Amino acid sequence: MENKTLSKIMAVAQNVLNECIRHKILNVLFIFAAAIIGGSFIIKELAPGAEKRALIDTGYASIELFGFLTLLISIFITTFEEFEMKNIWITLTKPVGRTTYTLGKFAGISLTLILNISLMFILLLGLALLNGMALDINYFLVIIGVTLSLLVTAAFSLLFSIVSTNLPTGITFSALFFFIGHLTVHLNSLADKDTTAPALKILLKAIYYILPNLSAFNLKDKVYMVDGAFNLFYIFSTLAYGLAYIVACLIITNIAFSKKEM
Amino acid sequence: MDRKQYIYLTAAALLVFAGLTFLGEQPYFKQLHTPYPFRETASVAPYAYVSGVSGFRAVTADFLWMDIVQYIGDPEIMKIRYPELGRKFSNLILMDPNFTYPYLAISGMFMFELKEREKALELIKEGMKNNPKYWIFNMYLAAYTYSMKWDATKDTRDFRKIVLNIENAMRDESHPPMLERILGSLYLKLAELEPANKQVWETRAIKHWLRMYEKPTEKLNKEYAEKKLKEFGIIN
Repeated sequence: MENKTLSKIMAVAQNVLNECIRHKILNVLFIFAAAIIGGSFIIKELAPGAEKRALIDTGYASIELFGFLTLLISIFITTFEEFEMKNIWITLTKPVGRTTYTLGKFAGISLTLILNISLMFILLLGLALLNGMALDINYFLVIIGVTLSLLVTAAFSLLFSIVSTNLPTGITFSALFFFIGHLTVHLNSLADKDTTAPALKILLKAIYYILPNLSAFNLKDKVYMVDGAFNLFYIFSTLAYGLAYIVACLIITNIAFSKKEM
Repeated sequence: MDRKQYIYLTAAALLVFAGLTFLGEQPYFKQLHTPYPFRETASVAPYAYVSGVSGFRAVTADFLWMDIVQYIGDPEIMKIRYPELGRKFSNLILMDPNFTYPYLAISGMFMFELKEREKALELIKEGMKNNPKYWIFNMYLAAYTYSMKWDATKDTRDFRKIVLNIENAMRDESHPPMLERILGSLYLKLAELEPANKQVWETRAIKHWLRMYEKPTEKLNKEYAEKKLKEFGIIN
C-alpha cells in the first residue's frame, strides 16, 4: 500500500517535472548562463583585487534569485493552468487523493528546483575553477543552504498557490514572504531591544516565529566570517528546522486543498 | 477533517518553534547573525539597502567596492582629493566587515597618496578588530607606524622597517597592486638615504621592477615598471 502511494506521488512529481520542461521553465538557465558568464568578464574589470570573491558572490546571488524565479513560475503557472483549464480533474478522477497530489506536486517542484540549481552551480564551479579559485567545503555548504531556503520557499508558495484566488495575489504573497523571511532575524533583534514598544515586540516576535527564518540558511553572506568549515551541528539544526517548516506548510496546504471547491 | 493531520501540524509547528528558539540560543548562531545596522546604513543607495537587508550583504559589498573603484578612477574627483572616500568605505564595511581587501587598498591610499596617516591607521585597526585572524593587517599596521615614526625621527632604521613590513605584506597574493609601485619608490629613497648602500638598494629596485614587468598584477604596474627600467637603461 505504502509503495503504491509512493509510486503515485512520484508519478505526479514526474508529471510536474515534465510540465515544467514543456513550459520551457528551464530556459531560465540560459539567462543565468548568459548573465554569469558575461558578468564574470565585466567583474574582472570592475572589481580589481576582489575579482574571485565578486564572481562567486554574484554567482550565489544569481542562483538564489533565478532559483526563486524558477519556483515561482513552475508553481504558479502550472497550478493556475491546472485549475483554470480544469486539467486537475483528469488527475483527481484517477485514484490519486488530494494529499498524494499535494505531495507529488511539491516533489515535482523540488526536483525541478534541484535540477536547476545543480546545473547553475556546476556552471559557477566551472567558472570559479577557470579563474583559479581554491574552493573548499564551505562553498558546497553554501549551495545546500540556498537549496534548503528555496525548498522552504517552494513549500509556502505552494500553499499560496492553493489558497489565493488569482495569480498576482499568490505571487505577491510568495515574494513578500521570501523578502520578509530574510529579515526575520533582524526583526527579532529589534524586538530584543529595550527601546521597542511592548506591542511592537509581540508583533515582531510573532513574525519571527511564524514566518520562515530564511536567513538561518543564508550561508553565502557568512562564508567570509568563519575560520575553517561551517559548524556541522549548525548545518544539521537548520536542516531539521527547514524540514519541519516544509512539513508544516505541506500539512496546511493539504488541509486548504481538501477544503477547496473546484 | 482527519484529526491526524492536525496532530501532525501541531507537532511540526512545535518543532519549528522549538527549533528556532534552540537555534537562536546557540553561540554559533549569534556569532553569525549579528544585528543588521539599519540606522548606520541609511545613507547607502536604496538598492544597496534593500539588497543588504534581504540576504545579499556580501554581493552588495562587492557592488559597493566596484562603485569605490569607479570613484577612485575618476580624474576630476582625484583633483579634489576624494572627499566621499571615507563615507563610501564606511558603507562598504558596514555591509560586510569581513571584506579584507578594501581595508588594505583604501588605507594604502590614505597613507601614501592622500597623506592622511591617522585615517589610514584607523582603517587598518578597524580591519584588525573585525578580522582578528587575518595576519596581513599586522604587516600594514607596522609599515604605517614606522612611516609615521620616520616622519618624526628621520632615522633610516625606521625607514628600513617600513620596507621590511611592506615586503612581508606583499608575500600575500591579495596585496593591492599599488603597494608594488610604492615599494620600488621606497628602495630608491633608501638608496638616497644610505649612499654607502646605494648600489644594493638600486639593484633591489631593479629586480623588483623586473618582477613587476614580467608578472604584472595589473596593467598600470607593467607600464610603471617599464618606464622605470628604461630610466635605468635595463630595457630600451
